[in-house]
Amino acid sequence: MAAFIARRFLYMVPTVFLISLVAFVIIQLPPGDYLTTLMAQYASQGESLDQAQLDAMNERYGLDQPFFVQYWKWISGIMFHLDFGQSFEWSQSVSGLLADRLPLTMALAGLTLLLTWFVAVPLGVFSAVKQYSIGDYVATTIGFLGLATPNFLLALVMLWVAFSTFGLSVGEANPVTFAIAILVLGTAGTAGLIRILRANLLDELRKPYVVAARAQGLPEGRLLVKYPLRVAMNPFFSTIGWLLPSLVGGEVIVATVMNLNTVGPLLLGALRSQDMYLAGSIILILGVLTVLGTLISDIALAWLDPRVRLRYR
Amino acid sequence: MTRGPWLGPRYTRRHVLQLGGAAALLTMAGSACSGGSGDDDAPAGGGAEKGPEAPSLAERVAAGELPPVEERLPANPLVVEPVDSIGTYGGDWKTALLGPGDVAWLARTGGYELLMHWSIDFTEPVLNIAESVEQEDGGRAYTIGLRQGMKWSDGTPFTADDIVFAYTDVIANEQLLGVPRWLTTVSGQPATIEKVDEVTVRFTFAEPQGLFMHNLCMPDEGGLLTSYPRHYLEQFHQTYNPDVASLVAAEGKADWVELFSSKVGFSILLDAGFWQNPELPRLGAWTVTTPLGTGEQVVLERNPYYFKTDPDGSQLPYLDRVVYNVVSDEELMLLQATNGELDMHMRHINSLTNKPVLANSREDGDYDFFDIVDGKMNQAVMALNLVHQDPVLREVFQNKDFRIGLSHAIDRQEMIDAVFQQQGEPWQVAPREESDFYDEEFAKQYTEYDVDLANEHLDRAGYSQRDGDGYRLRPDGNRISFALDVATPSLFPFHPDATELVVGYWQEVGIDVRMNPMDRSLFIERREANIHDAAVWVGDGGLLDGLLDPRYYFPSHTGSNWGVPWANWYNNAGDPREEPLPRIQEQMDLFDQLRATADDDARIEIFRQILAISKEEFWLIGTVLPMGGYGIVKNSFRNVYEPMPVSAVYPEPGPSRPEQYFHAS
Repeated sequence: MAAFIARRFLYMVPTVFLISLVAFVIIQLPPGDYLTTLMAQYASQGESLDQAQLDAMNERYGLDQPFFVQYWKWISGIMFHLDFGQSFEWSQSVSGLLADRLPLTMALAGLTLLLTWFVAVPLGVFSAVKQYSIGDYVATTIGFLGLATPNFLLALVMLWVAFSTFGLSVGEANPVTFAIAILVLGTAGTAGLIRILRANLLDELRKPYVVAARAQGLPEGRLLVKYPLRVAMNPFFSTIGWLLPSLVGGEVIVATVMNLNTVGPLLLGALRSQDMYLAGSIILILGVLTVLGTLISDIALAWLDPRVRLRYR
Repeated sequence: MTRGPWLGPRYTRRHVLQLGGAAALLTMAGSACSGGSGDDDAPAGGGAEKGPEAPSLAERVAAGELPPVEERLPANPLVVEPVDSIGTYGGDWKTALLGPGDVAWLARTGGYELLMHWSIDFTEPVLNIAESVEQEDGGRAYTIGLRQGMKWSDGTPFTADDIVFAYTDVIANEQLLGVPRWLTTVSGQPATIEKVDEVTVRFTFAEPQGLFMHNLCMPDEGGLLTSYPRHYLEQFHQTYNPDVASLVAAEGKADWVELFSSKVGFSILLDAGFWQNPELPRLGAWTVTTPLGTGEQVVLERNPYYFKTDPDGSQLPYLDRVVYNVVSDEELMLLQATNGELDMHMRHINSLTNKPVLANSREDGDYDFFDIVDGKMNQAVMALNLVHQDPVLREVFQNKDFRIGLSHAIDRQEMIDAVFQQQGEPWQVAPREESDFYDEEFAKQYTEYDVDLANEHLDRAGYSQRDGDGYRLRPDGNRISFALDVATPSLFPFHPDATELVVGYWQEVGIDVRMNPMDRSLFIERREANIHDAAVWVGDGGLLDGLLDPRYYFPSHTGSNWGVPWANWYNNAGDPREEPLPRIQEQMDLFDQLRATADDDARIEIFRQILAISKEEFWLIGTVLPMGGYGIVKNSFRNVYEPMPVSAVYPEPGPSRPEQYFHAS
């Protein structure tokens, strides 16, 4: 197991390097750079930048330097000082901006996850055990509806209701908007999980060991929790890894629509204005977290499921 | 509206009083004449019932945290005449900010504090921080008198040294900025600055400088001169702090430039840097207490050392704070507006399409509309690239009859009805009716919708041959075929719709044109590289701003998307460059002459000549004059000037004196 983990860590080095390179290249790919965006913005207000000002900014931001020089400046700062550079648009350090938004982002993602599990697990189990009952159909309908409704639309509708019926302010962060966001994000996640859990559990419930256990007189409830459910939960643990980036990256569209001060809208804004160090750093962090998360879920799975664990031997 | 002589009198000290009394002016210069007799008007003890200062400041004075108000004000404060009525202290100005890209709104509301201001009706420069501005030696020198005893927001005196520092050590420092065009002569020699005494500086030029006063009113020009407090910033500057390296190291910066840049910005309208540092002393009515990026709000609070009073002698501003909700989406801002959460706003949400929505909620939201006069003179200018890389297309585009034909082919009334909510008027790329340069013939020429006439002009232009599909042919036998570049999404969501219509009209007369929508960065890149066929953008410069930024009258700037290589040739900067047509060169020579003309009337005359050439040559095809602009204001929010000009040069609402806005209880 230790060798396995060590090997995985070793593999991560080139992967992360490639991610950093790709992140940086992707940001440079679209035409123009931050200054062009700035000029476009300026031009839409009918303003124009003095050439001297433009040149000075170009130099100050280092945008006139070749690609690899810019890349090295960025990556060496991260490697040696954990300094992610400066956001042009905010004229603030990237680390500061992220630190400011992380608590809310993590709270949002964490609570959403709890809500999802809280709703999805009982519903999924129920609709598998009572397959084709009225309850199953209701749960399935809810699930499909949640899956099919675009998140941001639901968010807008709920915001509108909150605003028009209850007269709530929509601009400032308040517990109600936060609750709405969790509910909206939770609904979408729930739907998927219900379906996965239902399908997995149905597979397991028909297996001979369930019949054997039942034949031995195990009470139905204990039987369910102790054996098939544990197996059916595997997909949950293998997706734990994906949660890590979402804890930091957050949801982009819903957060933008609801004006939540999380990392998602920050990334979107940075990409739109070609604020390269900010966008690049967020993408890199998310990339690293995805890699880490995958490792964690592999370990978690191995730890939980002897079948998986034994295969690594 | 009466049109004042908008270039105004010359600003000798003798004229200052007259200036204060001039009809269109709102802000009076107090007793700026014959130095130092300001004591009579000193506001101590003034201020009717509301007292000479805000209650919150009075408390701090009583607690010994602040010196008394008469010591905080300059000897001769600027007396601001309110727009409607004298106000009362207190309350917030609640408004919204669309992310960090919207910093210009911070500058426009809380950051427009310059040596000179635009008069509120945007007709001429008037005094602001400067107590006097004197033109000498036929425009070769300008002497600026500051206010004795004026202070930065931290209580340190604001003196001539600050202006000298701003110019020589920040603006003219090549590592930080470099001398901008407005501080150089036509032939490119930079201005020199000298400190005459503690409160007087003099700018000297090698040649006469005609637009110096105007530039003093513009945020990213004159505004920079009053944004760099020397006493605070010199510790971060290499020249003044030999030990700056240790500070650089302590803050983990790469060099002193990076350190300096982290404390202050370099562009008032664009750079968030001015709004990140609560320690930076300022001259404006409010100073930053919650900077941008630390939370969901930006908060500015009253500057206890602000140098203006109302006619009662009460120190301004009336409002305690300006609170900006940082929102991520325009629709949210709209919802906030309809919910009555914005006290006064005139950006992003005030489109013609949103007008019915906002009108509907006026009662519930307890707000109303106020009128604005858009500085733009065109909603969509169809700019054919007159310097096209393809010599044949270039020849076609440079053919005036061709352009006239295309202009007649456009059904502008249909555009107004279909795209602009029936607001507007058929209009060419010509000054607005509100402008002194208004010329009806120029504005209306070739705007008549007449397909036969259009075909006649196109035939006469020499393109009567058509191919099997009915498209006209170029001299080399190919179809006349080109693309109209449109930036989308952009601040002008109606451009694709308008262009779609124009494409239809031009197809009708046998021109194979298509719309080419693209991201706005790509749009700008193509324009700068001169690889576009034709481009659609709004037409700026319909008011006084046309004279300061004539990009639609002749190629003066890379924003002149119809002749970028010519503009580069003129500015001696950028690529590609090409020698302009003789008529354009004539315009350029005239503009150089204008920049070097100190006499106001002569300058007007020269600009008229430039416009006359544009009119005769008909460089650009205009469509619709923007009309029906509006902003929203809470019913209890007072003293908002109407109709408010809107222009890049007049950074609304800054010149309308936000310091005198107030909440009626």
